[in-house]
Order: sequence, then C-alpha cells, then structure tokens
Amino acid sequence: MHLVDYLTIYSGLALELLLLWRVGKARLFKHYPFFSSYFLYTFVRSFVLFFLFALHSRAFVTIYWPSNLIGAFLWFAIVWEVFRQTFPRDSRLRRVAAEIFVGVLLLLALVFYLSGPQLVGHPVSEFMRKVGLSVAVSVLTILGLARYFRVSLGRNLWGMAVGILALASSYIANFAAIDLSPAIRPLWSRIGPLAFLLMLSIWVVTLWSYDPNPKPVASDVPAHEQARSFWEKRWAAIGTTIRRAVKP
Amino acid sequence: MNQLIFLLILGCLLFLFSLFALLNAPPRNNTTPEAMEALSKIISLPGLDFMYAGFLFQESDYRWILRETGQRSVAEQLRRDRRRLALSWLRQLQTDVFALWRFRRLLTTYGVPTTVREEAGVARKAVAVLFLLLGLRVFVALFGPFSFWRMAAGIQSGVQRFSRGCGATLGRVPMCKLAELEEYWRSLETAHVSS
Repeated sequence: MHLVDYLTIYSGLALELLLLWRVGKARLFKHYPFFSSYFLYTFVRSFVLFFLFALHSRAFVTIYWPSNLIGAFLWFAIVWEVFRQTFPRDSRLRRVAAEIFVGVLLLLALVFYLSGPQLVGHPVSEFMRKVGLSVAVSVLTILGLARYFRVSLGRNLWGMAVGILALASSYIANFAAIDLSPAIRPLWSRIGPLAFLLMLSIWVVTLWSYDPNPKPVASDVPAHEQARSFWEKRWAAIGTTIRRAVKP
Repeated sequence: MNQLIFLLILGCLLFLFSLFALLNAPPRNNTTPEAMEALSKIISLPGLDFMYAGFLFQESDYRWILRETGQRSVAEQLRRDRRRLALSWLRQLQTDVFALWRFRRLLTTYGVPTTVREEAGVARKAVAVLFLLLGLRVFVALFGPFSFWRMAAGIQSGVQRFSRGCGATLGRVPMCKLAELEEYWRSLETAHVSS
C-alpha cells in the first residue's frame, strides 16, 4: 500500500469521528434520523473494516463488497431525508413534488428497462452505476423542484444533498471507467475513497450545527378568512341581483 | 461501450456540478425567526427597516430630468435633496448600530453565556461597520450619493448581519425573561436619551 492509501484511510476515520461528535453535539440524530442511519452504518462499517484490515483477517475481503453495496443502497435514505425536509408533511407542495419526483424515478426505471437485461461489465459495477445514477437524478430532481417552487434550503440539507451528489456522481464515473479499461483501474480505484473523503468534509462543514430550512412566512389566516367572507357575501348579492333582474 | 463512455462523461459532469454547487452554499444561519421577532420588538431600528434606501442612491431620475427637460438647476436641486436624505438615512443607520451594540453589551451584562472571543468579534464588527459608515458619510457629503449605491448596500447588509448576530445572542435568553429584559432595556434607553 502507498502512503496515499494510508492517508486516505486515516483522514477518513478522523473525519468520521469528527462528524459523529458534531452530529451528537448538535443533536442531529433527532432532527435527521434517515441521514443519521446512513452515517451510523458507514461509521460502524469503516471501523469494522479498519480493524479487520489491521488484523489481516480474511473476513475483510468477504464483507467489503456486500457491505459497500448495502451502503450504496442506503444512499436513498439521504435522498428521502432531503425530500422530507424540503417538502415536509404540512407543506402544500409535498403532493405535487412527490408526484413529479415519482414520475422522474419511473422514467429512469423505464430507461433502465429499455437499455436491456444484458450486463455491461462486472455486475457490481453495473449495480453501483445504476444506484449512483438513480441517487444523482433523485437529488437533482429535489434540488430542481426546490428551486422551481422557491423553497429555501438550509445549510444542513444543502450539504447533505451536495455531498451525496458528489459521491454518487464519482461512483458513476469511477465504475464506468473501471469497466472501460482494466489498465486504468489503479488510477480510478483511488477516486472512490477520495470522493468519500470529499463528501465527509462537506458534511463536517455544513452539518457543524443545526441549521434547518428557513420557515416560509406564515400566511395571514384571519385576513384570508375576512376576504373569503367578503367575497361570499358579494357573490350571494350578485345572485339576488340577477334573480331580481330576470324576475322583476 | 458507448453506454460506459456516456456514463463516464455524465459522472464527471455531475461531479463538477456538485463542486460548483458547493460555491453557492447557503450562509450559516444561527438565528431563529422567534429571536429576530423578539429583537425587532425590543429595539426599534428605523434605519435598517427603511426599505427604499436604494432609491436614494440611484441617479436614473436625475439623468432623466437632465436628458428630457434640460433643466440643470432642477436636477441639481434633486441631487442636493438626495444627498441630504442619504446623509440623514446614514446617520439613522449609525444610530441603529450604536443601539444594537449597546443592546448586545446589555445582553452580556444580563448574563447571557458568551466568550471573550465572541465579545471581541462583536466589537470588531461594530467598529468596522461604524468606520465604513463614517467613510461613506464623508464621501456622500463631498461627492453626492449617486456613485455609492453599491457601498451603501454593502454597509446595509453588514448592519443586517450585525443585527442577526444580536438576534442569535438574544435567542439564548429564556423566553420568560424577555419581558423583563425589554423593560430593563427601555429604562436604560430613556436614561441614555435624557443624558
């Protein structure tokens, strides 16, 4: 192993410890449970793999890829966290946003279906590319919807979304390049861990303290009620006037 | 093969996009709407609340009068009036900064948890904003308001950030203590005005 690999491993562990401390201190577990579940899984996985690696255990090879595939699948937990925080249950936009979001995912599933059942490259690479692409498209859809409907994102949600987008997009490029030419595999095998470090750095900075989405200004309910009753009275008066005009 | 090349390019583009998105991250917001509402209830900030300050520094109507009517004296009168109004607004903004700084010091005296570093930061920000305000007032008095709208907007957002900092500190005061604090602040302000 090269020095770069050791640096990557140790800085990754240090960043994970730092993020765990911040997430605990800012009580983000309570605010972002789905994000926290992914992060805790990654944290436990990294330390288990680190100790297995340090002990030269054969179990390292056995559990590395299955746990990586589960981790990639858990990216959807972050996508869901970003969605549910951007369009919370009491938001009137939630239904519209959910319909568009599901529509985009169905479209993506159709593209996967039309691309045929044959595998391009290794099955693990194929799985990683497809999960990465689905996550990237989902995050971009949510960010696009938020921008379209003028929903402001807080620093926490922004960091989560951009961090996972950076990781997912690097996986798409990484696993495509690995299957394209085995000769460039050594170079690209470093990209994944470095993208993971980048994601952790983004999360450490943006999740340093609890910074939720700004709440929209509450509508003036009494004024709306007053306007509605005024309109209803006028509407009733118009009916009476028309009836009088038709039948004098 | 084509699919892999397409995905490689797409992945690289998305990665670059995420790096670009990082540059546009929303600023840190450590104030709550409740704290800002409480702050605006306790302190009156007419300079900061004045929404039309930008108009004072725009020269479009001055140019329009010169171009369409050719009456230089009227245009010059407009410029003088704008300068007077801009200076008046800047004075008001300065008063707001002093009020915010006094209020921030009161919060420290009141026992809001803070650190020496935080206090030094507050003092540094207040001095910087006041220094810039003084400079802008001198420039506006000498050269008129029309060339300084960018600077004025920058200083106004600086004062807004300063007030948000005060709001964040006020957010650490328990809600049940706010009425007492407000009353104490009013009594101090009355004493300050009468002295």
